[in-house]
Amino acid sequence: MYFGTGVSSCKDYEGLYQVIRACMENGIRHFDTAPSYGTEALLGSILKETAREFKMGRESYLIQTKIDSWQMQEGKIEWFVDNAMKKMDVDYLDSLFIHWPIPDYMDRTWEAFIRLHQKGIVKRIGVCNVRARHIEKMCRYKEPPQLVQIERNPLRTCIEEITLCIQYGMEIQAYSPLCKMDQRIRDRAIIKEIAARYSKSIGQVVLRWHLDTGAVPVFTTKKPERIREYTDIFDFKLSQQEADAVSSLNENYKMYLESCICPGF
Amino acid sequence: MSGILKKIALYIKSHRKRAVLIGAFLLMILGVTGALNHNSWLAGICAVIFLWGVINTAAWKKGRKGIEYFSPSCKTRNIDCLVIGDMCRPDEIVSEGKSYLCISAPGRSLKSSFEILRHTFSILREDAGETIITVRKENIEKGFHLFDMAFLGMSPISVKRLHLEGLKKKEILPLLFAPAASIQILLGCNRRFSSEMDFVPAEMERFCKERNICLRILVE
Repeated sequence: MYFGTGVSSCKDYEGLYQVIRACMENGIRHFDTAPSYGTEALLGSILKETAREFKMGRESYLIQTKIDSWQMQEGKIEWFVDNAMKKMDVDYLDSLFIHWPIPDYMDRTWEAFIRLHQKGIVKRIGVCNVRARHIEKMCRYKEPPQLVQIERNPLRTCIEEITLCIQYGMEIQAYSPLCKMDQRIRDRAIIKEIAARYSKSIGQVVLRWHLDTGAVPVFTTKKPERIREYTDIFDFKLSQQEADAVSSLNENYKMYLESCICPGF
Repeated sequence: MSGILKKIALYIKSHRKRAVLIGAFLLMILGVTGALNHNSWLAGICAVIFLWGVINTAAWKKGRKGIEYFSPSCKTRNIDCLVIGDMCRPDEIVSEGKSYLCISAPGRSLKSSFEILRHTFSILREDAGETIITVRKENIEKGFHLFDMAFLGMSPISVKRLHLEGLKKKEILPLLFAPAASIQILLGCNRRFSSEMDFVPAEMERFCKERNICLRILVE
């Protein structure tokens, strides 16, 4: 699982430090950021400190960041990546994403991504907030994406995207995996029933559903105790029937309307 | 002196609502003082400025009608039909029983409507969403207007790409920069659009086809 430092995460050193420390204690080693989150520098320095504390080398944790829309418009992708690495005080990035597939700047940005990947500055390259038609199109590039990150939760199951990513061997990451605990998830009898069956919380059931249906959740919280809760999901597995029941909540609901942030999406 | 003005400008920018209230309160005090001292001209000026501010704000708000649906906290999604363009009577053009959202402003051009569609189509249901663009024949070839900025301004990169920085600045003063359109939007001058346009521009047709959007362009 990935810990995300986006909109709803802590933005102060002490708060984020406590949460990342809880991540390290509970086995989460993957961390997600972006220039627009304003957490690159903070995450970099906290990871350095906690890694020292836990006697871990750089290779034992994973950092991924993104290129925002305004950066795509500006161009100079290599410069922005170099700058991000300086901020985070790292000499390589584990993963780099295009945050929004802005049609006007996709081709040139992806070319820069391929160059960064070939130079070994970035280990894996990917794209966020895409639908199946974008994935299909990107598969025609010289190097297709290795990772895809999308808004996904039981109210938006993205079956087509999951199927395509599995087919092309791409890792699929799900952000807003709990849909901010929307009432339509929280109050559903079927999820409550599954949670009671395994003595787990609703959040744990939903995170498990992501893993059992082929996606890696990228979650966030301000509470260290939530990290302990959300990592306690590896002692059970949903049956196919249970996973299908959770998937049946799908109503293609999305919090973020792509076209507002990414015109012509 | 310029330092003080800068501070006031910064304050107004970051506390817009509070600044409007303070301004209105000060104007009211001035008006009452003027009236008590029989300075009717002072009271009159204050009343005019106050009224102007109220109308301007009302026009600005009306131009942003519908923007709240695009916030991540809004639960309305998967609507059946988007009506974009000149002011119209959506009930007359949207099929009965379909849910719709109307984004209209007086004299909106085809170019503006298409650009707004590019920014808003994700709110449509993905399997069979419909978009109806309403445009007056004389406005087909026109460009952008400050009442388009509420929707085009959602994406800062669009403002830069379309060179709309000037319009973005004018957006909050519609009564000053577009007085006729402001009055029209407030009065709700809706028109009847009944006939379909003979041709659909190729770019718009391709865009909608790729996204499963059924497009109709109605003209007057």
